[in-house]
Amino acid sequence: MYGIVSDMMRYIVKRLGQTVVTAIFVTMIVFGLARLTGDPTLLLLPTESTEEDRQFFRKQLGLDRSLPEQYLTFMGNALRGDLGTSFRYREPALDLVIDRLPATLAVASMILAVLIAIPIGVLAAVRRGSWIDKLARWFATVGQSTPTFWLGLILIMVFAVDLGLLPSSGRGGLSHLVLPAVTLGWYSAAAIARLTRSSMLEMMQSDFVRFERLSGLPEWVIVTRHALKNAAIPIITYMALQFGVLLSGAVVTERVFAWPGLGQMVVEAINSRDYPVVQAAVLVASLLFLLINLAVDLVYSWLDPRIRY
Amino acid sequence: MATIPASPSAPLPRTTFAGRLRRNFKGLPIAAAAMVVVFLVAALLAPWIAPHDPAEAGFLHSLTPPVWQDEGMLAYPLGTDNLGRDVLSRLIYGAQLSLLISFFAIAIAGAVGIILGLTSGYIGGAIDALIMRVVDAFLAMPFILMALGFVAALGTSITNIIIVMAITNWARYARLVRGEVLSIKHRDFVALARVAGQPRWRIAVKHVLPNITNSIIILATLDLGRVIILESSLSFLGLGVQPPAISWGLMLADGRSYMTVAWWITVMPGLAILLTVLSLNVTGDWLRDRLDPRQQMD
Repeated sequence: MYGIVSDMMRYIVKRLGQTVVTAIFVTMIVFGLARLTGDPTLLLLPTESTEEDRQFFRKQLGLDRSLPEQYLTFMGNALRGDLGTSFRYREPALDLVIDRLPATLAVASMILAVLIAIPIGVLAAVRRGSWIDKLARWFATVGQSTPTFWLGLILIMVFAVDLGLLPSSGRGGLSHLVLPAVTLGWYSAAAIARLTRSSMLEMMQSDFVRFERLSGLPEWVIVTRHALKNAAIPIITYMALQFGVLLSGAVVTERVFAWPGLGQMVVEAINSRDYPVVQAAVLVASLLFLLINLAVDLVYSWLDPRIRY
Repeated sequence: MATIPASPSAPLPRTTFAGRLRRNFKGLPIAAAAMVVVFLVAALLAPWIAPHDPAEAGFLHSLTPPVWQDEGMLAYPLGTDNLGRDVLSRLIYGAQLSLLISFFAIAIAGAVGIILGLTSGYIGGAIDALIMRVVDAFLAMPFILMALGFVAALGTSITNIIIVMAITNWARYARLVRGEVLSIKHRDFVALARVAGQPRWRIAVKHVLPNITNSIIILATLDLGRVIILESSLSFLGLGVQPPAISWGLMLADGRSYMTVAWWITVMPGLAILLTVLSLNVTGDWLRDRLDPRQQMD
């Protein structure tokens, strides 16, 4: 017992260490991004400003110091939650980004994707080779090949313009959420359906399902209570990772539906060269993804003691 | 070289060219593979097969619907856009740019990933740990946001877009190659080569790499589709290919304002993207089942 616990502790410490190192690399990339963009004084100061003004401003921003020094300052500030001030909004970039994290949209898409994908995947696996299986496989393949923004436009054309059923843009009640959530969740639904099908197929062929059949349990009990429960681990892992993808994938969807979220803000920030906001957005999304990843791994190792590190 | 006389009796099917062909391409999704070929040919021969100059505007026939609709014209089979430019010709030229960008991006990403993955897996130790954390960092960064960040920093020339796509995609190759290297590094033939005194880089390139090309080809085929979608997303957001260059994503963005009066400007480029990516994915799935039985879906 003691051995297992210390193994697990060692694993947790190792994963934490890895995550920290990875996070440091992420900050380096984001810092490098900012330096690639060139001299911000050219954008911040009016065109008629003199070279002395620029020099002064560079000194103010700390741009006259060496790169490693600048990075350390950046990190020091970042650790205190200061990712710079938006040139445009004159507000802390981090606050702007966190305020607009597309959490509502991502959660709605994920719920929708799961509600559609899991039944499809399970049915396809149980009725392997039937028409529903064929349909499910088509859905999975086509779904993973559809450009999000195009799907969104088609949905607007059909449901908002032609049928007039749902609003085409903006933020509001539940009805405003339907089309964007379908658009954003489509890819994930296809991917989750595919994964559910393949892990259910594996389960249905396992010895333990065969044994349960022999012991006379009704098929639906075997499928829902036992096979699905065991097939769920990879599916849940994937869903957690997919959630991070949804948060950033929302950039395009938001644009299509004129949804005032993070995506809109990032695109506008790029167009107006508001780099602190771009940086903060990339950094926050990446760190969130790393944290989700870490959490999934840790929960996983706790749930399934067979895993050896 | 001695020639073997042709046997008058029917040879075994597997020894004939047709037999080999049939065996090697068993189960090939013909429609998908044909579609890939069609798009490739369209891209390569764009100047010869496009019915019109893609930039030629004509206000007299702007917003002409596709040929099967009432006011459609045979001269513009898929209709025209708001400036009267031929949608089909623009799609054909758009294929050129989309495929070109994806191809070069994957080639660069693949090359960088293979070199780093081989180094990481083969040398191991601290270098391996370091490279893998960088890989993790790149994989943690959301593709679209990272691509937007880099485009904002570098600018939107075609070369820069290719570079950005390569930067955002190399990490998967490095991880794949490293994993494969680890799985075959201790096999006998590698050990033999080492005993025979071959230098490490030579073993990596001559013995390890040829054994993992299948996995790389599979990933690259599936990635082509992903990169096409990524590029068109950037162009759709106005931060990718810039006019007057023609890209499917850009066409879609342009057509958006006319969506209610001229659906074809938006629908056609989207269909082109969907069909290309779909056929690449289906072909990639087939390749995976064919070349790498371990990864089979079912």
